[in-house]
Amino acid sequence: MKDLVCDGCSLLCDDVKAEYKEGELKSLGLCRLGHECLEVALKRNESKSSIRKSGKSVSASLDEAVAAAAKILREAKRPLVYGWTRSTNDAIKVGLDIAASCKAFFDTQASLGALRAFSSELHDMNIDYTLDDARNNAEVVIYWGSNPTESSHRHVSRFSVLPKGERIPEGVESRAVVVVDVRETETMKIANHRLVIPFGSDADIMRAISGELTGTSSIVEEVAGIPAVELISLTNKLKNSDSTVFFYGSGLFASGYASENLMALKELIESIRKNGRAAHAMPVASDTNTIGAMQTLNGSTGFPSAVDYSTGSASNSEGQNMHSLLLGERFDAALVVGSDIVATLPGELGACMSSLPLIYIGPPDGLTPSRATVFIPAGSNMVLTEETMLRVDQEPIQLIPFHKDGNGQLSETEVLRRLLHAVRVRD
Amino acid sequence: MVKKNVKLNPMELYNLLPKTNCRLCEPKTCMAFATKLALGDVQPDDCPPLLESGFEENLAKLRELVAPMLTAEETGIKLDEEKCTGCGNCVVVCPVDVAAEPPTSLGKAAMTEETVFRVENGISKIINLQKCRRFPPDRLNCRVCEQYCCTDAIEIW
Ligand code: SF4
Ligand code: SF4
Ligand code: SF4
Ligand code: SF4
Repeated sequence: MKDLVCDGCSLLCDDVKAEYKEGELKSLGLCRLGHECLEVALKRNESKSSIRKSGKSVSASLDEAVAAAAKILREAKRPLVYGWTRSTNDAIKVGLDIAASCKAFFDTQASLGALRAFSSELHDMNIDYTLDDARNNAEVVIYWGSNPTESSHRHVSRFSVLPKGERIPEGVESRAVVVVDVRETETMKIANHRLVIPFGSDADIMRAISGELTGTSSIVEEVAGIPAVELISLTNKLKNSDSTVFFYGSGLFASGYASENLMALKELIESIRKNGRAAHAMPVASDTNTIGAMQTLNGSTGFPSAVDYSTGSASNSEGQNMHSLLLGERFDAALVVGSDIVATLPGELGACMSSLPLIYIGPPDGLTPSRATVFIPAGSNMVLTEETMLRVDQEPIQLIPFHKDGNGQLSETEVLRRLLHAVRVRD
Repeated sequence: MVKKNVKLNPMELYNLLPKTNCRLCEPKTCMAFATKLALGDVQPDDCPPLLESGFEENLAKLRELVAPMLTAEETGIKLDEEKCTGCGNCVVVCPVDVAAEPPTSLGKAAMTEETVFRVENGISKIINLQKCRRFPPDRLNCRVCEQYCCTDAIEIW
């Protein structure tokens, strides 16, 4: 058995092992999702690049496909370069060089969700915490609008709830678990406090708890249908907990109430801190390198999203984002990396994207490869590379090449390097 | 629930209980608890005060008295592989696993052959059923793994 790092989700588990012999995969410690990702990647037949000619997709050599892709990018006046939340930081950096070379607009899929939280005032207040900090210290663990049982299978067992830690001698017995969601979730089974709340009432509930904590108001009757005793008992837990962590999810930031919710969460954390107790927060993200995509972009350009190279250098103008530009038909070509956008982008955006000359570099699964004007397959990062991604708590994790020969496929980064070269060398 | 042709005397059991009628158990009174204990419908560990310090001897004696009601054939654990997500909760909470492979208590994946549960090929497998504390010699009414399996993949009877 060999050590390996799983890129099945943003936990990037690095305590797992696997062996692949004669077409059979055995793994230890990988959750169902991780094992399936690895199995799909290893058992995939070698797939060919393809180019769409008069409506028909025909297979092409890698060199032909790279040349066709470079031609599209060079001829475009305003290309979009997009995707990246499942790519490594190394691939993203090459992507930025491509965007700079063809004066493109660069954005990542993180802009659709987690970025809202990160660029809000919430993350200006030193709330960062690592998953290991949570394991070692968190006495009250709050999943708000997130359901790790569904999206990050090992979150509860590896870090946040069950394990023992430096100040958590009895593991789960030393913690209180709170789950707040608009519907009943599987994670509620292990919670001490389960709050099923009406859609859109998150901020009201947070503000009521904040008021009770700081004494500026008190909970005398139910709030959004949650009985006062329940909320007061939860508030008392927060008063007595040396360290509280909020794992917030898309239920909080992807709803129409994102700004209000994030502001209320900020106030709640402030209120806990006014009581002399520690409080932190981090998202529960689905895509593997959502955080890395934001941070790499920020580190390289100074902007976490929506970077415009049309003037030759990186800029980011107020109010410009990939959505409005795409809907306004401002792009004339697109390079998409690693994200099956035809399947995942909301309807109208997906349609706009499909109407452009589209270059797709990524795994051969999903809907995007067959719709692309030029498709270049790339092998799985978890199988091939020793590149780096950021875990959801911003810890850099280096992948371990598991099966170097893969199935003859190049990594995303290698394909992108070749494309960069072709874009730069003008014929 | 587990039943066997073992006759237990409820009064004898009652005398070993805290006798405070604290209402923390489901039967609510100690006498009712003792009656159910004699029938195998509850276990000594279901009385929270008994688990506190001061009652160690009574608890041990009660467990000994009810032990013949539980045998390896009559208690069991089942793991539904269809429902299991391989989350590893069972590995990390099982007291046997944590003792057999201490890193699991810190959330690490089980790697040895020594644990009750081990996540293999994406799904938890029971690799040492005989080590589960429900079976002799311990015969404890442990259900921790079932309690923390969010997908209800584990069933204990
Ligand atoms: S929790 Fe995520 S990173 Fe860990 S094994 Fe499962 S899919 Fe892979
Ligand atoms: S919990 Fe124990 S002490 Fe309390 S009533 Fe039941 S048997 Fe008696
Ligand atoms: S706790 Fe349940 S779902 Fe998780 S690994 Fe164990 S059996 Fe599977
Ligand atoms: S019942 Fe208890 S000892 Fe038995 S497997 Fe489950 S957690 Fe482990």
